[in-house]
Amino acid sequence: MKGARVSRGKGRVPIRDSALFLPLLIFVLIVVVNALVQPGLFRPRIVRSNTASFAPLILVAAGQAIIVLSGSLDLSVGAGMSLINCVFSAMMHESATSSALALLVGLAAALGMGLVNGLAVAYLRLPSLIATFASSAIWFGIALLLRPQPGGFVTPWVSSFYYLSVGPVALPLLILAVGLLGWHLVKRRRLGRYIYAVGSNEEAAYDSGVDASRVKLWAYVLGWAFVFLAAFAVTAQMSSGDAYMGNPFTLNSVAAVVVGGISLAGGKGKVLGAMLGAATLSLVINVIYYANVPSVYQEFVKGSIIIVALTLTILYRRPSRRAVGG
Amino acid sequence: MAEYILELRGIEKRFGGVVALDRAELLCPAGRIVGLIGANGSGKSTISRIINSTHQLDAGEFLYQGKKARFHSPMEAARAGISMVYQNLSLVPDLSVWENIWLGNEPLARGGFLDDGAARDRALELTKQLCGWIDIDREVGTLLPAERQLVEIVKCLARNPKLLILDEPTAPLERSHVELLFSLLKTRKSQGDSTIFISHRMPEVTEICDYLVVFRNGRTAGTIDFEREGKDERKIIELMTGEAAEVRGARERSVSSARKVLEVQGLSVGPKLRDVSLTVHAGEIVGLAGLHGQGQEELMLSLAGFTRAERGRVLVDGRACRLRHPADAIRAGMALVPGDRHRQGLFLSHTIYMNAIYCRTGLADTPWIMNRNSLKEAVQKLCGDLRVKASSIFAPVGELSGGNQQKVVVANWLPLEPKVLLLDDPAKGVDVKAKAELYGLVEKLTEKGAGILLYASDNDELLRICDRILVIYEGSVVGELLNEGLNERDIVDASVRSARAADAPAHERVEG
Repeated sequence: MKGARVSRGKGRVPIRDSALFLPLLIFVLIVVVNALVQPGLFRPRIVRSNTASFAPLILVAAGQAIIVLSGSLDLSVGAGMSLINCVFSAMMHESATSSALALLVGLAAALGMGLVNGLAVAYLRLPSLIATFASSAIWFGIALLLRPQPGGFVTPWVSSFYYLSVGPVALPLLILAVGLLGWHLVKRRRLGRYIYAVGSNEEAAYDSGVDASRVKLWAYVLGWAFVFLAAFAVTAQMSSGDAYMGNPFTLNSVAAVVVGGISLAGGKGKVLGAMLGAATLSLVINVIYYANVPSVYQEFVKGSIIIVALTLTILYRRPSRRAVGG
Repeated sequence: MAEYILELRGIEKRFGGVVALDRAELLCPAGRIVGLIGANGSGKSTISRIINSTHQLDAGEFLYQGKKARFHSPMEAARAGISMVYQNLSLVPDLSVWENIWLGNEPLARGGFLDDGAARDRALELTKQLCGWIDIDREVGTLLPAERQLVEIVKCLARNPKLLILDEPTAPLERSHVELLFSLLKTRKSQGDSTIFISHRMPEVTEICDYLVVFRNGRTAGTIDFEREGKDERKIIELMTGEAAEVRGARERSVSSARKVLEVQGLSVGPKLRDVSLTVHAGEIVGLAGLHGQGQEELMLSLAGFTRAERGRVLVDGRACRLRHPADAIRAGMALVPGDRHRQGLFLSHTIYMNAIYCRTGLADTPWIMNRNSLKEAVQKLCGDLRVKASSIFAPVGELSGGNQQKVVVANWLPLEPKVLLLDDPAKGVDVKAKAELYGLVEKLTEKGAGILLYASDNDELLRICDRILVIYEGSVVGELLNEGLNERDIVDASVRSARAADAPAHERVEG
């Protein structure tokens, strides 16, 4: 009893209580399983190609994580990725200026979509689930308009740039690191703290003098900066445009967020966790492929593994809540 | 400097069809502690939310520091030096104590980055004055209600406001913390800062305030300048109720029978409860006293089936029961009126009617189809008996004032006629009149043979209503007092003595 009152000192939390503990554990577990079924998983070439192909989901999961932490959700990130991808493929020609312009327009489109979703949720006070479901149809419609059939031209440098290595560090890894660093800078500012506060209890945050609506809007805009990066990565991989390309990313990003230990109620968890969650989901598909699971069972096995990961995450969190909240 | 720091005149505020404030007036002399008192739903919380602009007024005049003012949000009010301790608190559960203390007001280092080192150090200093034992790195969601209340107070004091509004700050607090708070308020006064203090506890208001405003039904019923007119409790109650005051004495005790409705033997739960044994007889009201946070609430939660006991036996009406789930307790005839009504007691967005029905669904003999009309009548009658102030029984509970919400929590359990009623601070934030009504109902239950286990943060309540009082210290029952001619001192003495005795190597029983 007396011992419990002694301060734990400088804000350090035991590793087992960290929000990252379980996502990390699950990630390591799946890496080990993957290494067993796929010898040579750790060869630099394989690591590089895996990072490159996982990066889009990891990035979009990071974006989704920021939005979820602020207490909202975004079901239009996949359609948004398609739209940006179609902008790239519609605007990029041989010339360097067209490529630069396409990148700028793509970024503006991403931030614009984040702004629209954010305004609808934060200021019109629409439920984020429905508002972003509706906006996803709009993004998809525009993408189809830009590129009714898959195809189109994307300057080769995008792809060769993406597969570039700076020394031993592959460029996709660098993009992930820069994204994470950006988020950590935000977290060191008021906005970062407020995203957690608003997600945890919007009314209390407002009563404390936090402009909750503005925080929610900013969470969307920040999240969509990551969606832009994800769309860039996916375009580099495919070197063409496809309005259907982004669809699977929407719900996979939500699953990654939850496997990453972030509460869908908001306010609790780490963006890095969501990134680990995304990597975990990607590795699951890897494992299924290399374990020679018959293709009919692939979706079944994938779903089961995700359920197990989710159960672990949620079971792990429950006891401490219960003792306090009842 | 203006004579009044705040002048509100002719304030009107409506929520839907309910008139919350009707030409209310509130004048706060600068540099003094102004008490604001009134029955539940008289508009105290509403006017304080208008002052700090979480609510906007519909009509009226708002002068701050002698000048017309209009703030559009609590941030603007905070910038002007107005800070408020909310009745429901403004704390974010997933952030730590020190992060909450600075929420909305974070110290910044160069480049607009958070200066967390300074924030944490300052928070440590600030908490020391009021609640030094709280680990400021803990998440607020894991704190006890009283600890959260103290953090909320520290948070407001950290802003050094010119005008501090405290809405029911003492409701979950025990006496020693109230005294600490009062000394801080006196320091503020000596610095020339103004405070508005809202409370239901009459002795506290007369102790700390030097000017009193009484609200009744959304209007200002009167003001009393304590320095000139003296402190007359009868006059205050008259202003509050509009009726001649009737001060209630200790209750007439019914002779409790020898039948034991609740027997607890050697109950242990985690580190918080150790080997607790107690008995409650039919028709008896047993109080739990002691310093705050010694396991009283954990005992309640464990008996109600929220937390599982590692060891021990619980017998209800002579029958042993396994309490693994709240439904087990309810089926055994044991109901809990929880202390944290927002988190545990109510479905805020649901109607009074629905809230009253949920409890019944846990019973073994609940019919598959319930008769809506008879339920409706029963709920209506209950709300009438308890004088719940609401537009109808189909009003969402979240729209009611704090005290009325608490009445609904209690009302939910009464029709089930529990054998044992566990009351965890049921009168928290409830006005004098409603408190009497509430305890009147509890006494009626005892006449029907129920046993009551009551925890109250206010010792005065225990003295008024309990037959026996158990003193709890560090999760054990360390003393037992028969309530015959006891006064508050006796309880405090027993609690403190047991604390000292327990610091000695052996646990010795303190005889009352």
